[in-house]
Amino acid sequence: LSRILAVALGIAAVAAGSPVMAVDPPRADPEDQATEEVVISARRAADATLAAKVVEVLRDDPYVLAEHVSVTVENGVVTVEGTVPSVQDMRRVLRLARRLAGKGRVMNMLELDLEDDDGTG
Amino acid sequence: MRIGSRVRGYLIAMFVALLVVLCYPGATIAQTQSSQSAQTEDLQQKLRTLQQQMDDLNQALKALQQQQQQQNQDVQKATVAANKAQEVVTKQQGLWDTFMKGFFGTLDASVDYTTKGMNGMVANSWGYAGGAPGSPYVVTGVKGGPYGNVGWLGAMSSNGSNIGYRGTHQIGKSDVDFIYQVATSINMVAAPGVQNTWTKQSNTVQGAIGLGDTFLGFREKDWGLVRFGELFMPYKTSTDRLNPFAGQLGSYDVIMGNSGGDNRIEFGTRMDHVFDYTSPNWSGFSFDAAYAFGQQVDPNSNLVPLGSVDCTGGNVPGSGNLPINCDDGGFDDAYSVDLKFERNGLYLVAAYEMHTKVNRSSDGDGSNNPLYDYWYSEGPNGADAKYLDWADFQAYENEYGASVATAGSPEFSTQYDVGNEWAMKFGGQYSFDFGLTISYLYEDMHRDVPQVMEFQNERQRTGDWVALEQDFNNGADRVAVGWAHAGATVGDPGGQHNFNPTGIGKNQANMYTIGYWHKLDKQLTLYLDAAETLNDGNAHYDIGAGGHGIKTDCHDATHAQFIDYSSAGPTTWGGCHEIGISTGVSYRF
Repeated sequence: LSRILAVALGIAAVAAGSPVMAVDPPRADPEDQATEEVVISARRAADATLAAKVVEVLRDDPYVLAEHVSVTVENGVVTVEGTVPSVQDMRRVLRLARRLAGKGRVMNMLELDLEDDDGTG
Repeated sequence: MRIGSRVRGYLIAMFVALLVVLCYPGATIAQTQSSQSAQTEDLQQKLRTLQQQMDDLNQALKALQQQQQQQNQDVQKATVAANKAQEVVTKQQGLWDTFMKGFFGTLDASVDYTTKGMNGMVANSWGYAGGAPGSPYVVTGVKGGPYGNVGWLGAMSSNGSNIGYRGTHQIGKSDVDFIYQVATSINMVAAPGVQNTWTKQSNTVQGAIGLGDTFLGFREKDWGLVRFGELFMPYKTSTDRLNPFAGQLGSYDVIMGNSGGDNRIEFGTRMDHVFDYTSPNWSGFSFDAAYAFGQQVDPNSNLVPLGSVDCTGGNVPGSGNLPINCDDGGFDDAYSVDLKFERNGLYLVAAYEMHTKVNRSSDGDGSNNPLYDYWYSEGPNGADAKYLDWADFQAYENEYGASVATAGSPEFSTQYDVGNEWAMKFGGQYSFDFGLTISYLYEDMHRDVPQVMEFQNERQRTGDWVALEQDFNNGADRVAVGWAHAGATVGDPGGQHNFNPTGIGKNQANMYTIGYWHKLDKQLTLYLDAAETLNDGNAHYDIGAGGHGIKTDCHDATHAQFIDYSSAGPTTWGGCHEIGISTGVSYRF
């Protein structure tokens, strides 16, 4: 069992390093399918762990207001969504997420919550 | 131990022997038949009593067991009930937390010290040396100087303050969420009310719910986000992150997206009746597209749109002491799109926005441009009469009399001065790991009018923005500097009191801004910010556009209640030199 888990974790680690939005090819072999299920489970666990870490880091940071930021992780790619009140907060959220997920593995879907309207004329 | 066992053995043996002797019915112990019978009966009685006691004990035991069972069941029930209650409490706490988390906002106020920089300015009247276009411009008279406190002035300002609520509702068990948001803009330093000053009039109420991004929509992870309501357009939001000074003196909105100067931002405003789509993120690429229903009944965009309280873009009819029309920039439908790419610290963006049928015919009212004066001097039967709106002008004269100022001069004809305006921009930003962020934005704005009207086209120019920001102390501190440049416009309607026709094409401007922010914690920020705008002779850009509450612009304090003809009304001075410093506190939640 430990060997299978080790293999699964190894494969998950490799998969986590795959390009963003990569799609795994379909597999027909039952053994491969079983292995794949184990890999997916391990990957999901790794994703959940990473998401929890990012949330924790954002929560514990003394200066970033991430109250309205949600974090999801899929295949090791972190997506941050929601709103932040300033460009400074946006950069900080992205930097902290990149430190944990790695460069090229953070998707920014954040919006700036600015009230700077003055009409037109 | 061994002795004890032996003694116990002897005692048992003796007890057995005694029992045998006692039970033996022989002659060793003589007993009568009657006494035996009595003994037997006595024993039986004792046995019955014993049996009764055992039965009683059994019943008592059963009762105890049942009681115990009942108690266990009660405990189980109580535990289940307690767990359910805890679940309810936890759920309610979660709902409460979720509910509270929906609130958001910014409370921001500053103390400013600014100058309009127009003291001592001189204004002249101009004409043609030969009396007609083609001959050189000459000064025909001297006009009065700036009126009011146009030098250094202290002020308290509420900047970009708002409160809102947003939420998400999952539709059944689907992957589609229904989303909603309501927001309001608030004033932290003065009473709420409509935004009517001598330079800007609006029916929009500061402090009312619905002023701010307010919308309904649907979101699905793989399909993106659709919203409809009152929203900023993608053209504006796509480059927000390139502007470190949003809501402060020297925001890039002073020049970027602000085609005509002054306080209003043509290509950076929130619009009514917007249908907006935001795509998912595909490997760093994403795009937004929006359409704003013009809801215009008038073919020249000269009315307040259906369902709105102001002219399109935010002006009340008659803004600028003009006739009650939407002819100072009102428009019909608007389209806005952006395309973005982001990977690591790199951000690239391109955006485009179009406003259809923009009505700027009021640019003729009170124009100080000699060409306009010449057309006016020709009269309603002159060779160039078609360029001016003589019909409305004569209607005003007939109703109010020729001497009434509201009929002081005709507007441009809507046939020639209603046209599409569009803008496009390209920008980039790179954030280094050590905290430095560099931003650049290039912009090109256009107004489509006939060649004959290009002489008054001040809406067509280029613009540039450069900003450097440095975060340090783990995000606690930030400094930023910015430079904005407004290129020369094609023409100039000559609305400035001191308009100089020889300076057409010399209405460029440069703005410099520097700011420092210090975060006390996640929510509280102190800031110090300074800005300066250097306008060429005919340019009139300010330092307050873009959400800063107090506008320091190129208007003096003239506030006569009639059209800005012969330089009455809110008087604009080209070439003003605003400087300002602002320090404040911002609380966000």
